[in-house]
Amino acid sequence: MTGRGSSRGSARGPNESADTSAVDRGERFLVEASGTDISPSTNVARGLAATLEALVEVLIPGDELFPSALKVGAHGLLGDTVRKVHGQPALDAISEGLVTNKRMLHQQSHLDRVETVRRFEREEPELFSFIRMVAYYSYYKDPLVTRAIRALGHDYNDSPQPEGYDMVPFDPSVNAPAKPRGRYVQTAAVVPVDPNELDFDFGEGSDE
Amino acid sequence: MNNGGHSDPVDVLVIGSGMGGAVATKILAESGLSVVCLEQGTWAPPEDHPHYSPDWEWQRATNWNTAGNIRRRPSDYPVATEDELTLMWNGVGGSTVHYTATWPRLRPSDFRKGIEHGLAPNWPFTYEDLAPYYEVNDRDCGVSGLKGDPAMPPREDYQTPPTPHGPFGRVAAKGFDALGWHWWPMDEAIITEDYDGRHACNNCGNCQSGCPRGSLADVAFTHWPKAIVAGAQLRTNCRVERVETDRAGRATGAVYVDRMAGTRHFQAADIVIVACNGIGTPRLLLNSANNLFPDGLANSSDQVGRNLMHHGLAIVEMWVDEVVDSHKGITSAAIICSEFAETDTSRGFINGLTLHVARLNGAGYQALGSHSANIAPWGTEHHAWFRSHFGHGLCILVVGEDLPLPDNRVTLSETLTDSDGISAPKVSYKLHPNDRRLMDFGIARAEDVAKAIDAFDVNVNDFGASDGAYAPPAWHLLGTCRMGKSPEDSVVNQWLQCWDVPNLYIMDGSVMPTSGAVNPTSTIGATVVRATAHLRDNFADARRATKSDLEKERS
Repeated sequence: MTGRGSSRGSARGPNESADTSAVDRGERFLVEASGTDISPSTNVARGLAATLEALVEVLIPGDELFPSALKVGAHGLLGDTVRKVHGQPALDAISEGLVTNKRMLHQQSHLDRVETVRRFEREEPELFSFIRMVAYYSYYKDPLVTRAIRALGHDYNDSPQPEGYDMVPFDPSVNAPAKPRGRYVQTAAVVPVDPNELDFDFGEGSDE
Repeated sequence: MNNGGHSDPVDVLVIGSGMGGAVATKILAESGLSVVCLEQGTWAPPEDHPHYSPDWEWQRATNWNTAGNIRRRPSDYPVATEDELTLMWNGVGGSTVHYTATWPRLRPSDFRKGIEHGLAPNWPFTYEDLAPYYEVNDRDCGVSGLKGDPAMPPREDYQTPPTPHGPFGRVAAKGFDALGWHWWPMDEAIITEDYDGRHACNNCGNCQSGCPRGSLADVAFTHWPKAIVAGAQLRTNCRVERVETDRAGRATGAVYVDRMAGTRHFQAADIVIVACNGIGTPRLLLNSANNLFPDGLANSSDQVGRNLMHHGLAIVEMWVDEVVDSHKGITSAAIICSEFAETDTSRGFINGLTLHVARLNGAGYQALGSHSANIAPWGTEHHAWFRSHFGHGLCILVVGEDLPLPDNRVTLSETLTDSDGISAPKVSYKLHPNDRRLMDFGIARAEDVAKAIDAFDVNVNDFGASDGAYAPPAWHLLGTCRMGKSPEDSVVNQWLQCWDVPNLYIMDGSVMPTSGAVNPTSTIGATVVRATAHLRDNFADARRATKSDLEKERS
């Protein structure tokens, strides 16, 4: 956690201390999740934490504008949510399912990580879908990401309220059809059609 | 469970506080009658909505999910089904708490399907009979729209102008114009100007987690405050177990569980109104079976629970080069196309469909494929996909009329119960081949629009399950206690009065004999306004009504 740690720090505000970093938050959660007696499972928890870090980094890497999912701490929420919804066995399944050649995900090369995640997606489609959903929602709620969306030129709020969005009010001269079309059948003009002309079995009888 | 005893008898007991229950309670309480409403959930105050939190999209997918089977709040009850994902909200306001308030009316021909093709019944009244009550209900709810739609009968003024269209509307209109098809601003029960003490919509784009501003016509904002001021009693967290009857077969009241106190009570009333919508109402009637009504209350016709309709639904999403601000403005449709709303058997099916142009919600939802599972790829391509798609998408909802089929039905689960031990509903629903063809036609027309607007990416969600079956989100719960002209083939008469139990009324979507091809809530509201006004004006007779009185209703 060297390069990621330094870039994470630089992406955050100057008043935020290192111990509030996303990676640390994720690790803390995972340690807490393992129970009050943390010493026997510390290695396991740290291994799982590192796996989740590597996983979200593969799912949503950063680019010149957007931060990575790791940088915004998506792995912490991912671990939290998987445990709450599917329990510890699901976390174990993630950790074990992402092992390739006895190496955990974070111990693999970048190319191997991508292949490993692709294999996991094939082998555990439902769990992977859940992971992706949680990771994406966790990612796109982060203020760093909404800031990047705004940098693309979109008017995008951190949350829908209280501001809402200014929109140009409806103007009939612009927003209504220039040549209104359409028709309806009046009550007295409703006439029978023959459904038997259609190639369906509508069953017996009718309602009229 | 402790017995909490009996409450003082009232004139009217209403079960359920959604559109039907709220409308009925308000009208009857304002006329001076004593009214108690029992609601199994509670209020959803503005501060409880997710709109103010950065994780609003996650909440929308979880504890504000539209499906009770996913949301699983204590007030929710399970729905046993593998055929659909049933939308409902169990709290004050019912499903108006998290619907989109899309507010089109049925068309005149929708009331005449018995004449048109005979595979569904006529309504016991016409569009013209209902039109004045549409207007009353619109005024109570506050509706935005534009007069002059040539595809609908003339109507009175809207309360506020249409919702803003923005670039999204211009792009969609370009497509419909190129194809020479009808389009018109959609009627919405969302106010665009301050109205009746409520704030105008500020286009926040998260309608389906409720509207904490009260701009959207959630009856918890529009009706309940007035009903309570008029003297109505709304008892929350009170889950009704069964409606009781006397030896003469008249309803005497209801047994309910106070979920907070853990006590069971009986509320007596001269008139009982069930307003739990298309799943909850048949569930309650079937759970109320007794010696006199062994097949469930008001079920001598064997129609309670049958003829379930949801509408056929497909969503065709398309992405264009222009920025269309897919996340801004009302969630649901800003534009309706009624070009294919009337039956034309040359298309190969009966009944019709409408196309609704709608937006795509927030960034997380759009990255997760919006409504059609066009999911942003993970990995190095993720951000490129997001740049090209976010804010560039729109969707067309294909909303088709579905036939009322007797085997599409609500029964009681033999194994599943709610947290109070009351049998859960079991839902079976399949599309008729006619309706499948109708939907395929509609999907193809939506794809025509995508071509007409030069969409660079198109994705279709036909709600096909892995086994190929149609598994819809079931937004609309209709038809399971159909109204009609005869006790042999319907549950209620045109005044929503049960043929079998003359002082029992059903006031919700379950009474609709057909679904039309549009969202039903404006029609549910208008139908309930009409029936409740009749009940109010004839209350002295109604509280003494007998089955023989109802025979006069037969035509």
